Amino acid sequence: MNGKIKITNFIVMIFTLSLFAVCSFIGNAYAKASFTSSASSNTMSLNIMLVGPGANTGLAATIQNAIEDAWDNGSADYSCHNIDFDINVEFTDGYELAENTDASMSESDFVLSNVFEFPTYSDYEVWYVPDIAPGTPFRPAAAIGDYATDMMGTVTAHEQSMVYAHEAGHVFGLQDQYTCTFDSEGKSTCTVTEEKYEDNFMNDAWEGSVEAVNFEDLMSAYEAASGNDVNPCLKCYLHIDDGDVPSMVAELSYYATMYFDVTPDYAITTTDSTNTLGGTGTGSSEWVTVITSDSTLFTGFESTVDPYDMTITGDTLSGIYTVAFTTTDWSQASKSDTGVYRSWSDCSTYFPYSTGTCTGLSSNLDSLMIDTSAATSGMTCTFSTSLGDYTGTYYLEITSIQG
Amino acid sequence: MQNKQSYLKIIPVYLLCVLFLVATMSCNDSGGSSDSGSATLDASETITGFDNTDVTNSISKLNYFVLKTDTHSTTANIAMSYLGSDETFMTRYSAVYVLGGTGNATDHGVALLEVMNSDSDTRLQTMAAGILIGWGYSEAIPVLITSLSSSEYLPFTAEEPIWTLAQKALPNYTDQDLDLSTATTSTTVSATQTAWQSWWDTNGSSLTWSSSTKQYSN
Repeated sequence: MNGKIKITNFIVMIFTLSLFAVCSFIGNAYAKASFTSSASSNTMSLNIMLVGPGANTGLAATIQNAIEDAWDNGSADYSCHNIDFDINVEFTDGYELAENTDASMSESDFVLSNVFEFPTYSDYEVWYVPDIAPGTPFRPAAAIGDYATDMMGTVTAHEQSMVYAHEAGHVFGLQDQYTCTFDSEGKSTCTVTEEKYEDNFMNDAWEGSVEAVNFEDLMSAYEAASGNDVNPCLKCYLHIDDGDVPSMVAELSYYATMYFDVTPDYAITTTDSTNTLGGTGTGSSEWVTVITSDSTLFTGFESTVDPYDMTITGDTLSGIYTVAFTTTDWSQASKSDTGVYRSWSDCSTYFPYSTGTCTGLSSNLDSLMIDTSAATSGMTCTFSTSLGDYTGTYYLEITSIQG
Repeated sequence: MQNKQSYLKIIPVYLLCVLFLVATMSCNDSGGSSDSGSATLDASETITGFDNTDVTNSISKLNYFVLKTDTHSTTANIAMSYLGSDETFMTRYSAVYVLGGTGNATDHGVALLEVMNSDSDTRLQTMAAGILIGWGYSEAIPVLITSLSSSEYLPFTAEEPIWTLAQKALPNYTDQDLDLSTATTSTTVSATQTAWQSWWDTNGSSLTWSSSTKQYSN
């Protein structure tokens, strides 16, 4: 773990969650940021107003580009929802720093609370930029008021671009992923909250990167606050038993029964004892069991790992495979507390991004990925393969991607 | 009889009201000047009272003096008196931090130069250099160049690399970049050090400071 950013204390999750609480996933409106979603597009919008002696229109443009570049590039690389980050940063010199004259404030409140005259830009996140020379040590933590109280933060004008993206991340609902203590010589002992954030920019804004987990957290924040389910994207992985599969299977804990329709007609042999619907047989279509690494996607479904789910044999394994989801236990098919059954006809409600033509299947027999994120309707995942002559055991892994 | 009982019931309420008023007045009195209403921070107490177990609050108090521009001169003079080697690290750190945001080259440059050259802690030396480079002291440049390969962190930060000061300052004041601005890791930042050292070796002795453009040139 390297450098961590501490300047983000002014933006706290409590604030964000309080905003989420009044929002719904589709067309929800934040006080400062808004997220709109449709079958074809998802947009995160945020207005930021820069104030203070260190701010100007040039800095506004710099910060806007920094946030958009980091988050849009991250979305392109990692988010199955293809989120467009529409960031608008402006500058105004219409405000002055003022001390809080509230007599009830304690000494520390005097510093931490609203010493800045509250702005009237209700649709803007307000960032105060002090007049700090480049290279002069300055930590913006709680420099102007308490963010939870006045919803204003502080940044300096000379930060790395990822620092601004990190700050915007807080507004979008992400938390710092480190904790630190200090000795009397100012030396820190910092730990990352979870290993998955080790190289992440919410742990290390100076040297970390935007990663898939940030988009998972982004969607989870919406789910938690809005009470609505966020539609996941599905990714399909086709594995063959080349020696590495057992270790892969060991990491998987959940599977659900799915309908595996092979066209053209290739022989399918299911050797899975839990394959209750299809049984053992051959033909152009068959019920087989699919391993998935996601516990939430198939909540209530069977949860026993079976490493030998499906065997496909054929002289030349190439063709179109259609994958559809169903369940063997309809009594447990409801998703969380929505009360809506995940029946066949409801799947389009819960998996709108999981269907359509899946592309990207390579000839790499070790792990073949089909990204279904581009699809927008239905629930059928169709993919093609050109594995060539192969007889053996296949493992089809379906993973839901929340981000 | 009923009237007497009613009076007895009122007495506790009356006493509570009196206590409330006294307490309220007491709070107002302890809040400093009646103009501001709230407590007034003391610069000396703030600088010497830095608490490593409550860093955010301690930094916030230091920031108060940096942001309060009408007292910069007084605050900087106070901070300058706490730079000596007999002070604790936390006090010296606080003094340098406050001086960076409140001081100026004319009144405080020499004192800060002493920190850069003689403080026992290299991190404070680098912090002083980060300030002095913007005050026209070209001697600060090689100190910052040295920090480009340092693995140390700025004190009381969540492991912010100390080279971030140089990364912000060197390109800004020298009108050179040498790939430093776009470097995003310790490795890539360190890789620019040779070029910066070479530039300094070639140009350092002839650099002049322009107070109007706030840049060095030769």
